[in-house]
Amino acid sequence: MGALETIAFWVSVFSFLAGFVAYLIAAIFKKTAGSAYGWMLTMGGLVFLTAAIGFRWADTGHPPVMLRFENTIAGAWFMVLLLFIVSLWFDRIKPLGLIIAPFALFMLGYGLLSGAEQQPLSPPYKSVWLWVHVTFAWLAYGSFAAAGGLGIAYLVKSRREPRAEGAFLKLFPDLAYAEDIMLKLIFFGFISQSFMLISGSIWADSLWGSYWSWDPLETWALVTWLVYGVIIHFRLTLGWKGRRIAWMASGAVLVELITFWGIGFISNLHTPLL
Amino acid sequence: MIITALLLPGLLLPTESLHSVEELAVLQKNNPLLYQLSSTFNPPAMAGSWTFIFLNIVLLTSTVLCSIERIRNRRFTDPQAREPKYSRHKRVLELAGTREDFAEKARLLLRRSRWRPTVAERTGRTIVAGRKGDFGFWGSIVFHLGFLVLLFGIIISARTRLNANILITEGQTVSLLNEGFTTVVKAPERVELPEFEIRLDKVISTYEASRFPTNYSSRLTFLYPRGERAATAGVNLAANYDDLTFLMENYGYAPKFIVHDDRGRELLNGFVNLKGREPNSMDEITAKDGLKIETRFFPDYYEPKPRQAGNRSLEAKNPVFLIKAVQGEKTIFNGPVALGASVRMQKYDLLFPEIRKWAYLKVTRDKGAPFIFFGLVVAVAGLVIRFAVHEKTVHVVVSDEPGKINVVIAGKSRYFPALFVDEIDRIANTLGPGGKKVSV
Repeated sequence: MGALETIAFWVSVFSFLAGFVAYLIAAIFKKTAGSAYGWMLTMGGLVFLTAAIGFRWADTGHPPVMLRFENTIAGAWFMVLLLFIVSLWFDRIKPLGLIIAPFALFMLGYGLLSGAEQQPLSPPYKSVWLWVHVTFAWLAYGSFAAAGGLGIAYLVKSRREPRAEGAFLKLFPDLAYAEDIMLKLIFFGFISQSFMLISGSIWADSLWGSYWSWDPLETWALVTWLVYGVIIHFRLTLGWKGRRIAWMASGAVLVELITFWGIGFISNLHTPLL
Repeated sequence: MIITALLLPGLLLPTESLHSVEELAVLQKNNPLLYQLSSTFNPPAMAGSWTFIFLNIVLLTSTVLCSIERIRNRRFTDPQAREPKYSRHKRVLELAGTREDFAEKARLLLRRSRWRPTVAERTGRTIVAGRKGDFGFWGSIVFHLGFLVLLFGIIISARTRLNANILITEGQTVSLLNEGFTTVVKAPERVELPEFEIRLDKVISTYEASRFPTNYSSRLTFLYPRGERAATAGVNLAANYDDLTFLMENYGYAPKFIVHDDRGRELLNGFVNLKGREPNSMDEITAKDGLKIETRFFPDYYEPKPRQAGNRSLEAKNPVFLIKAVQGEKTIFNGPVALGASVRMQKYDLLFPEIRKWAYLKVTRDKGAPFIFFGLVVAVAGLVIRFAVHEKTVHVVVSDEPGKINVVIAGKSRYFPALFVDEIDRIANTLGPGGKKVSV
């Protein structure tokens, strides 16, 4: 990492950490002001992470798409950015930072373990489809992560009577509202992932001469898509609502986690790209 | 769900994507049952199995039937009866004015907000109804259509797909009809190839800081009966001939070694395609007279300390081989050989006069690919329509009461009933501020 990138990166890490602590204080000690501080610190982390990515981009000449470190900083960035964008429409989504901030922290830490060496863009990445594929991938996984976080919040909130809710839980949207936002995030993520799969297939065809190789990462991405397709079908066709959908949205994140972390380092085709 | 369930076991079991051939051989020996399961359930095997084919036939059939049924039902169903299923939300207003004026105001507001308003008069009340999002139905149909095209493309692809490789050295000319492919990953029963030859003129590779490859490509010449044509096959850069696509997968170094004995008899004379191009990568060459030559390649050799091998960069600026020649049990030579040099190995001479590069080209042909990509794009377009445009209705019921009018604003949203409350509130606030909010 360059000097400026290092500074911006570590400030963002501490900002996310402080934001998470603030949210925890709000949740445990029922200090609602903590939630506001948590939000500000998480957004501060986003700003500094944006700067870190910018500095890295300037140094390497390419967006952060190569190797595990770059994938994780890009993923954390997209996830927090998505939370910010959704909050512009649905203000009451902000307490979700309690789940998103530590998740971003975990991703950054994980990426750092694999080393942060700067490298030029390797030949397979030199394609316009890289932009399309990676952007939609992060939009999809960020949406699913946010939906999963909202699902967890839904499950916690739905176990309590409204009168017995703590001040922090009250900050979360009403259950019906949360369910609709969760569904919107899943829809958005599903469409984004569809674009991700299509662009990935087109890119793979131009790179490897094969639009689909059944390698583990491709297959897990397909499984993730199918799982969320099942959730959508259950909601729209069978009318599953409430806690059922919240459980499914929360559980489906595990599949997404496996796709991103579980097999990436052992896939024989995607490995050089990760 | 069934397809997901079929794919999952293969993703969790050991497969050749995750393990080397040697590891799988050990697995086969130590745990034949697990090996058998992994061979049967790995995703590529599942994708080609009769179960998968049968499932896809079922999917194809059900998609067609579902689409036909939906269109039929829609045609013969009263639009007003196609109400979204979910909950209603109400705002109740009490305002001054006349029923007719307010109904007209509501109708204009709904029209401006892109609802399709209708007005119905009942005894003592006027109902202004608006609908949106009916077009979303066609999103499902478009998605199914795209899915059908996709499945059709997959069938065509499965039957016509050619996926093979050619290993070729600079200066070499290959005829696919005669020499054939180096490896064939997939091919239809009958492969029809045009009459032409391929010559590899040059492999170009560039590095940054001499460490990181930034690009590599092959300059090819296609030689056909009527003439010849130059082309470049690179990474993300296909060269096309007829309906064949050539892509560059990999490249490496091909040194020329000449070994002859004291009588001038040649034991080895040719270009050897090395497996690895990384510094210190090892290869083994077998020549006549039981001669085995182990080579370690250094593309940019230098000696950091006397008799210690080092390498400065990945570019072949100073190619040197560390060679160990063995005949039987006896080592007859062990030392460096630089480009252009020759060394004495007891009664043999080894020369290293030249180094070229080899290219590993992928050759593909797939008549189903355009259908697959088109089907995918159409299917996703259908999804976007379906999810972005969903059915909503709103009713503004205006009724006369002594000295005032009573207005009930209610609506339904197919997918997002809770968020629809905001829209009802917006309509209510525009028509008249205040009013009671009732959720049902």
